[in-house]
Amino acid sequence: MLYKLFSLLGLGVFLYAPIFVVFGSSLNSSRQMVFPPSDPSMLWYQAFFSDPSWTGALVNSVVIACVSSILAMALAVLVAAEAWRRNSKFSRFLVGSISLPFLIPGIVFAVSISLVASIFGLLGTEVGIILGHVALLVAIPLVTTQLGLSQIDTEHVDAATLMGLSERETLFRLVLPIVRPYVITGGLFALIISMNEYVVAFMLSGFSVETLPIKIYNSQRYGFEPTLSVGTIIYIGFSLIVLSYIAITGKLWSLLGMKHSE
Amino acid sequence: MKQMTTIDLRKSNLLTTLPVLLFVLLTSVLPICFLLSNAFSESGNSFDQGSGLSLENFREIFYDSYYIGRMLYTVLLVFLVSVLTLLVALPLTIIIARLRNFWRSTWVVLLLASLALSEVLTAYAWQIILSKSSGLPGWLESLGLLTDSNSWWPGFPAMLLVLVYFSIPIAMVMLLPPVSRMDRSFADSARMMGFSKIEVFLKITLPILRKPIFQTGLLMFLLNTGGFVISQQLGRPSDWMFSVFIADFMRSFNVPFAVALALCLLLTVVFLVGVTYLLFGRQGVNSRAV
Repeated sequence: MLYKLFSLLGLGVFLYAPIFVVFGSSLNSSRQMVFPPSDPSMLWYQAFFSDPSWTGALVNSVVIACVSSILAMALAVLVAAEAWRRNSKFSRFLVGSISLPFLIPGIVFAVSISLVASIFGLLGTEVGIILGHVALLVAIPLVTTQLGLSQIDTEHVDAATLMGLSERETLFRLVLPIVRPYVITGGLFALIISMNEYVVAFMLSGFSVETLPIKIYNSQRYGFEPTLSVGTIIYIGFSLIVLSYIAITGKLWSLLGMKHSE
Repeated sequence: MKQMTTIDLRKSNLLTTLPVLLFVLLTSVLPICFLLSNAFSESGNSFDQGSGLSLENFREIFYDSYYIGRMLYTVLLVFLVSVLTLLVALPLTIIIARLRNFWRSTWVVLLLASLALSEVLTAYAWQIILSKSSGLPGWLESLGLLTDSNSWWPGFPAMLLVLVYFSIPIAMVMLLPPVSRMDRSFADSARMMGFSKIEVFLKITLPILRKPIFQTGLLMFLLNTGGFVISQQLGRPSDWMFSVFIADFMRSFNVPFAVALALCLLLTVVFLVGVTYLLFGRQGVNSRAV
């Protein structure tokens, strides 16, 4: 029993030490990165929010992540619904090919999508990054939506049809309520990953658009600075809020395929 | 698979499939086409589509054994990372899967939250921890446990540690569902028959879980070959993985050469995954889902 306790404790410390240290260093009052922080203050949080280059990067990230995850959800629903209704070779081909960008090594997809973006003049635009992120992340809401659709009992659909509900009514009154949380959860995961994604965003940014991960990466090359830690902490806080929401809505367990007895 | 048969399926749904097809064309088909056409074009210094068909890039890549060596190194490194990750993640996942509901839930949220730390943020956080001014070396020195320490990065051990750190929560989140669904009756009866815990783990738990273990290992492999930030930020240039070179040539606008390197990486990964799958995957796929 004791070794289990210690190994879990070790895991917790290992996983959270970096986050803890980054948080500590964001509280330093001087430019020096020391841990534990000397004379803790919120100075660098003020600095972060009063520096347009940081807030601009944050806004870019949020806009790109929101638009990408909404588009990814929409595409995922189209593809998943098609696959669910027909289950044809063609629909399986669609599922496979739309998930391809997620399955090949990240750098290879980043390079190849940047070639496409440059042809269409999208290199160095937010639209280009959104395109890359939707392509990369659509696989996530696709998987969760398919899982949601597989929970629907065919007998209920038959019953709805027998009761004279039209296809549209069945869709809105039976299918959507069951599937919605799965779609949203997939979208939220996509949102978190899009906010954090660097490789694809960097290749598509063409040195003219900065998202927060790009800004953090670039600033790192010129040395440490507590605003970097502030940016990191804002990100982790954001992800925690989104994940807690997913956990509270209760779909986390079935998404992970785990039974969760109350 | 459950099928909704009663709803009219014959209606051709051009309105929904057309945008999807266009999107697939734009993000899956075109990228691969451009990857091929650029890799076989003459080295230029911009995003202009290279002119003519040329093997120049590949001649340069295979001119000496440098890039082949880097590729081999990368494959071995990523394999090592995947194995180390599984060695740490699997026993811990089994422990967590057997916890009571509340603690198991807490751990799932903790694992997912640490997943939110992206490559860039992970690399940055570990640079702080491993640096002398604000991290472990400095603390240990102030405690008198170390003398004359330097920062522990850049270097191979730092890079390996952080690559494994980055992979562990992802592997655990992937392993947790199959591990918690695992039928424990075999293990329990083996225990009752007098097998030791280690024997049960090696002879029963591992074989039952071989499919998820295999899939998780494969994902770790793909994920780590595709990233470059951790390797570049925590390793010395001699420790860099293949993807770092691709990123660097893209940065210096030698696009066709970077693309040719990316194609080499893609082909290597496809080849390795294919061979692995043929050798070991079939057994896993045919095994009964537990």
